[in-house]
Amino acid sequence: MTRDASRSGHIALRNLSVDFTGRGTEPTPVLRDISLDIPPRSVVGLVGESGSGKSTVALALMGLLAPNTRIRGGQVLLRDRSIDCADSTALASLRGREFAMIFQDPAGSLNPVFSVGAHLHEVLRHCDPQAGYAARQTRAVAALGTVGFDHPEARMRNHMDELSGGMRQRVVIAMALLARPSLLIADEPTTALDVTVEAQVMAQMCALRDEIGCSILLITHSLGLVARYCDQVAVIYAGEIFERGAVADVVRHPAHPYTSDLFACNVEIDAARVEPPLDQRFQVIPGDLPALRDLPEGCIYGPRCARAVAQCSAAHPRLLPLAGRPGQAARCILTR
Amino acid sequence: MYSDAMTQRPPAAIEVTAAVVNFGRFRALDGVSIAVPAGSCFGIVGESGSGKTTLLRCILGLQRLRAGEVAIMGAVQPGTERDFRRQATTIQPIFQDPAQSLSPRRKIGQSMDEVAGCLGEARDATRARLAEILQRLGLPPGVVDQYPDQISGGQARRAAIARALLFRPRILAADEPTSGLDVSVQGDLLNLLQEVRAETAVTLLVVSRNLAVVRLIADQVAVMHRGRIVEQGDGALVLQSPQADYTAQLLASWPRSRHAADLM
Repeated sequence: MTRDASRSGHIALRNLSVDFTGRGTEPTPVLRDISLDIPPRSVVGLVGESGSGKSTVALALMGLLAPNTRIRGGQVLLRDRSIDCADSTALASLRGREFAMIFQDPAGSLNPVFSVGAHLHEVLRHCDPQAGYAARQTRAVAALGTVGFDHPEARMRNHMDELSGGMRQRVVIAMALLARPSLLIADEPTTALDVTVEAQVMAQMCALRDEIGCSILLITHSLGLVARYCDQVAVIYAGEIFERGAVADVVRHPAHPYTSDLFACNVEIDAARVEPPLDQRFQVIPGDLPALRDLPEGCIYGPRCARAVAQCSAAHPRLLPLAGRPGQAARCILTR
Repeated sequence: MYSDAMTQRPPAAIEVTAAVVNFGRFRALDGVSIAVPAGSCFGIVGESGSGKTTLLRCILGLQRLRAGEVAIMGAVQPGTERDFRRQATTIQPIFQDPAQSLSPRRKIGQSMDEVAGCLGEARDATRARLAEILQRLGLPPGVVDQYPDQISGGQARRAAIARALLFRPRILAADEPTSGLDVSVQGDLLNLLQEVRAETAVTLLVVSRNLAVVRLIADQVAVMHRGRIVEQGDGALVLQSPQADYTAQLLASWPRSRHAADLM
């Protein structure tokens, strides 16, 4: 297990900027200067609305961006290495061994004509070419047991159509478990699942972290999941990090107006009920996400922000640390 | 007269009695009974596979029952083909992705004119009512000349709801209206439904996995599990102090952000 001892390093993403390009059109700046720090064994949440670019961050880390993208800059820092985000060959060598990914739709990661066992064996053949069939079989069955299957030997012979959505997602987690990555990227892993299954899958992911000592980047729009499972959180809006910090700090004292607006929109299960329910109204953020090709001057949240003042549109704010709150930073001129 | 005095409850907009539906050997609905009072908001919650969408399809007349009965505004379903057509003016569905219920090959206005044909109303009269509805939903009058892909997703969602309202239905049946929406957009859609209810006294049936939302808008709630209703009653009671173990388990699994932060 010497391999594990060396994987206690910090993983970071520095200044990632990505454009979407199209024939005959100006490039669209989808991500601008994204930096993330992922401490060892931590769960870092990346939250934002649809279209904010959170999945693009995951795909960039995996080196899986579509051909119509251009990486303008960015580095992945992994222990003592620095890898250029534009070097897709270097990123490909990390895929599987260092970085593993769980997608929203597990069916997309699993081949319907192969059994569960075939998938697990394939991972082991890739990650541990020396192991023989019997050794692989033992480890694969053990992995299925770890992710909570009752009869793992029998499950090895199942195909995708015999499994529910939650079971499929757990097979993908078992594959990640066998690959022993240093970072597990989970992109909306529970969005398609019921709440009780969601709780099981999240518990399995945390157990996986404890067992192999990896870090988790959890990409989600569920603030409930972030508060319950993450240690750190970064809030992304239209391709920019607006705020980051420890979850307890950001949830309790959001520094950026967007963060507090987003949290205010979240409907809590224990919210006070208005009587009659017909009088209930819900919090909204007026307006839409800005068009990425035509971003507002200054702060890009300015036009939707209730607290905006004249200076907000003067200059583009930088992501600056907050006085007295170690680790928390916000991109807002009003919160210094 | 006599019966009016005896029944204190308002008449039911939807009454399902001991509904049974089988898909092959699988029993999707196993003796489900609900009564939705007119003008109220009724929530059906449960996880995938619990039978909530099957129940909704029965109510919409899209699914044949093996046993039991569905009555909409007192009329037992299914009636004749003619009754089924007329039902469009009684109950209108809002599907999970309402924008999908607009034909991509027709301008919004053309989809709306179809309603006039269904109602046997003059096209101009329908268009006049449409203008009012569009204004109420915050849509520019120009959308009638656009195709669904030329307007934003939010506008398309509103246009689909406008079409449902154009039928002047007594009941709106929404299937997972908030799934896949961001919290800010979700609030906007829910406020819209609430305003429509306040203005038109329409009965709203909501089928959803989103317990947090149903808890706040529903007068009454039914919790489904494996084709049965495990608990039903007043929304405040069922989703506040549940009696059934299953309901309690659902509520406990719901991730809470404020709560969790306080524990840290």
